[in-house]
Amino acid sequence: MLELIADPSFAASIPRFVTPILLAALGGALCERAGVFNIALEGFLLVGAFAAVLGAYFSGTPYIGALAAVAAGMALGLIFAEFNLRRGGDSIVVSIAINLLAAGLTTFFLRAIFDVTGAFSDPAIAGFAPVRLPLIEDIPWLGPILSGQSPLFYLALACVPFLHIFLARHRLGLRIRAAGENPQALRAGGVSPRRVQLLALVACGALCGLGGAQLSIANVNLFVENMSAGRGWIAVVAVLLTRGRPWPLFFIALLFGAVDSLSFRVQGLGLAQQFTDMMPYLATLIVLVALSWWRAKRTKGDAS
Amino acid sequence: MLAVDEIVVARRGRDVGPLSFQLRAGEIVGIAGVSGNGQSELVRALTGLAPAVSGSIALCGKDIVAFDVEARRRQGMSYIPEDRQRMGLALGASVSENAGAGHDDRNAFAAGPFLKHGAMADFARSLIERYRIRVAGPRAAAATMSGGNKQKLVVGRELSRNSPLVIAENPTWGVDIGAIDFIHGELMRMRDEGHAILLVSTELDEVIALSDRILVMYDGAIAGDVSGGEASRDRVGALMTSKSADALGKVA
Amino acid sequence: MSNAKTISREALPWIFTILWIAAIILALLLFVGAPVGEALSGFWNGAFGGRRHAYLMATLSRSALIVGMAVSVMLSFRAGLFNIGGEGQLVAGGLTAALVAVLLPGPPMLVLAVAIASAMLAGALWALLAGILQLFMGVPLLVGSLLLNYPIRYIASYLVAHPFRDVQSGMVQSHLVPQETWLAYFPGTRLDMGILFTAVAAAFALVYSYWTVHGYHTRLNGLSPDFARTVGLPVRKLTLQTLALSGAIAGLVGAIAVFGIHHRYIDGMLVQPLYAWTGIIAVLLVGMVPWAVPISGFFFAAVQTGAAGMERAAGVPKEIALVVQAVIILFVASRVSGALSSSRGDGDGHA
Repeated sequence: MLELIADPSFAASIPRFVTPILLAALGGALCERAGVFNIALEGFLLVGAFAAVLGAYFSGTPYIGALAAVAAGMALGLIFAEFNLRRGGDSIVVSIAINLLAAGLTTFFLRAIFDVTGAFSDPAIAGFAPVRLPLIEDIPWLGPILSGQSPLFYLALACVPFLHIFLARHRLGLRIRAAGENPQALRAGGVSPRRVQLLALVACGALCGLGGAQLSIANVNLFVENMSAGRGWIAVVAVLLTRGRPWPLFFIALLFGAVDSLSFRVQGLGLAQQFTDMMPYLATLIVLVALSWWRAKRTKGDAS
Repeated sequence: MLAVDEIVVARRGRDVGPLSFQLRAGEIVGIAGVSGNGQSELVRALTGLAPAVSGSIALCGKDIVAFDVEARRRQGMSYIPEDRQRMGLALGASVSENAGAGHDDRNAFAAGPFLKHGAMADFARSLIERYRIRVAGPRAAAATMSGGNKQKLVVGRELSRNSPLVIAENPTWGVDIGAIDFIHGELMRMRDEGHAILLVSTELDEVIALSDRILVMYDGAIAGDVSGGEASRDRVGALMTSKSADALGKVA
Repeated sequence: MSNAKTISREALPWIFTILWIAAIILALLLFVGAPVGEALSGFWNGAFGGRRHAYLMATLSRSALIVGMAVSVMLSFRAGLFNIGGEGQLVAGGLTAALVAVLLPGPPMLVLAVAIASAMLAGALWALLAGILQLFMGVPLLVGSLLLNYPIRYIASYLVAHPFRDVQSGMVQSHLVPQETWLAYFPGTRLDMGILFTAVAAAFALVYSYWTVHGYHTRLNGLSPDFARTVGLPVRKLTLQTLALSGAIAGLVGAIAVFGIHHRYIDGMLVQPLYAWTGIIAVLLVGMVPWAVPISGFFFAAVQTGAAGMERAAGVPKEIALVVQAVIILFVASRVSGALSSSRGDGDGHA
């Protein structure tokens, strides 16, 4: 096991797993802070993954693929906003419906456009090439993590401090927090909380779209039905655990991503794939339990 | 009837207590204080909605600290909560369903595992009549009633349990004048019949008018114990802010 | 006159809703270039037609599972428990039913009875796990119940891929359960008796919700958890009991799928068709009203088999069913909103 962790190729694979969870969770964090209970991240990721393949296949460049993913995610964010904010549908119900809509749209268009079921892979899907960072790639152990990753990974990394400062300092960031914490005050200031929440949802869609793009055109070059495979739900858990604060979110995503990547690696050790497949979900549950125990202990300590 | 001994309740920041006091049968004890001085924590600990950190509570001679809400109610406690919207009623349920909840006699509204809808509706009708609740009928949703009528339903349900101890938290908050008099009258009637009533209210006039004894809470402790006859707005009012006045004096 | 006005005011949003949904379906049909008329008649035939109503029987067979899952979910939702782990409970039940029936020797009827009982037990235990995580370990039920879907899915997959695999079949599936335990077809049809179990479960849920003390108490908890606590209802006990009941019904549905339809456990057979999620949206469509849930479940079953008919008749990918279902829920969720959020309290109407 130790050898496995020390193995540089294990380290190098972590970002592949961290990126989708981190991007989706950052999007979810924006919603959380804006007071929108969006637990449809799974659907957002899935739509992003599909749109990315679509864009990359027809344009021949992964950047158009990523743009398509962003656009599709934003569109889904608008749909969420229409039904949750404007028509007043319950956020849990809307989230469940959006997840199903994503599963439906992606499988429907998979067949309608490419005439395949299950999975679509084609050499014409242009994937992201790894970005090599000279000098940095020579650092032992850390080098392969930081260098040779997809551009989306660096984007996700940059998003963490950016969102932190944005939420703490920027006028719109403050408004997003006000929409979540004290919408009356925001309304009194002449700003509609709903419009702020709409912006948060659209931004969330964009970030999740990129996360989906990482799944389909950076990690692999294909689309598989339901390829988000619960990662959106893990991102939801990360958001709930950290209450949408970017830095804690980063470390939780790092942890979940590392477990994901570890479970991928131990398949090589002869453990049945089914057991390695369930590791991320068990790890998520364990983290949930551990954190709530730790919190309970801390508040008890405060009380006495 | 009720003996509270050195009870401590957790609160954000600083704990409430230790508090000790007694309540005899046939007595209304008022708890006065500016809201946020530990009254609601005390009530939560008494009703079992929140655990006490330490101390003991005896009701009718039995230590109930380890009891849950249901067991405490069975031991002889009724509770009129301050927040009728969330705690006093289930707004989406019918008047009849609200009236029948928390009833002691398990067989009054049930035959085996099944509900006796008829008996529940009859009971609700009797409350509607007795408390002059303005509502379409037992089957109407609780949400359709006005605030005062909601409160009357809560008061009616809890008082009809006829339990030895009644804890009433701001029982007339947001209620019209006619209903206030009625609720006050009911509480005094219960007192005269030998029930013990703990009246927790932020309305100073209400506390002074009804109570035989007034405990004033300040900063999580009992700042004073005034008998009803001696109570005046000035005296109680001074106690409600007494310690802050002392503190200011020391600083000066 | 004013009466007609109020009717039109209430009907108008619904008409718009239906138009919207129709427009979206039409857009999807045009996108794949399908002949609309043939698609629609294919839909109708696929859902309700067929030679000797064979497709209607397929719809009924599917609705046996969907309605069963809807009933399971409804009991939780009405109690204010966001148990979205029905899929895991269903898989636990189906897997257990198949393994018990394959491994347990004995008279077929006894084996069937034991297998169904153990399936219900397995479903109940899996649901209880989510309840225990919530009550004693601080994991919100919504997240905990969902995350538990995945481990059981993989456990089931492992068991039928390795120790209990029917190797000769070449597929990832268990051996067939003894033929004598298969649920019989209704005479002259290809519809198995599984739907009777669902009917019993639905009838039970109806009686439970409207006429039992337990159902009344759980509903109060669903409408207002604070109220339930204040009047001294045993909230924790109610939570665990309700989850166990939900899980048991989901487990029963798993057993129906095994003994009525597949006659073995095939990897993914309960997950891929999204029975549990369809059950959830069937409950949401009718705002958790118990008597309407079976109708809503049947409706969604018809949408799915109808879509398959549309694929046969006009080459429309049958995955359109999922899109249509989601769109319906999106539009309807906002119309019958408040079903789930009623527990969050309304404004106070002061006197």
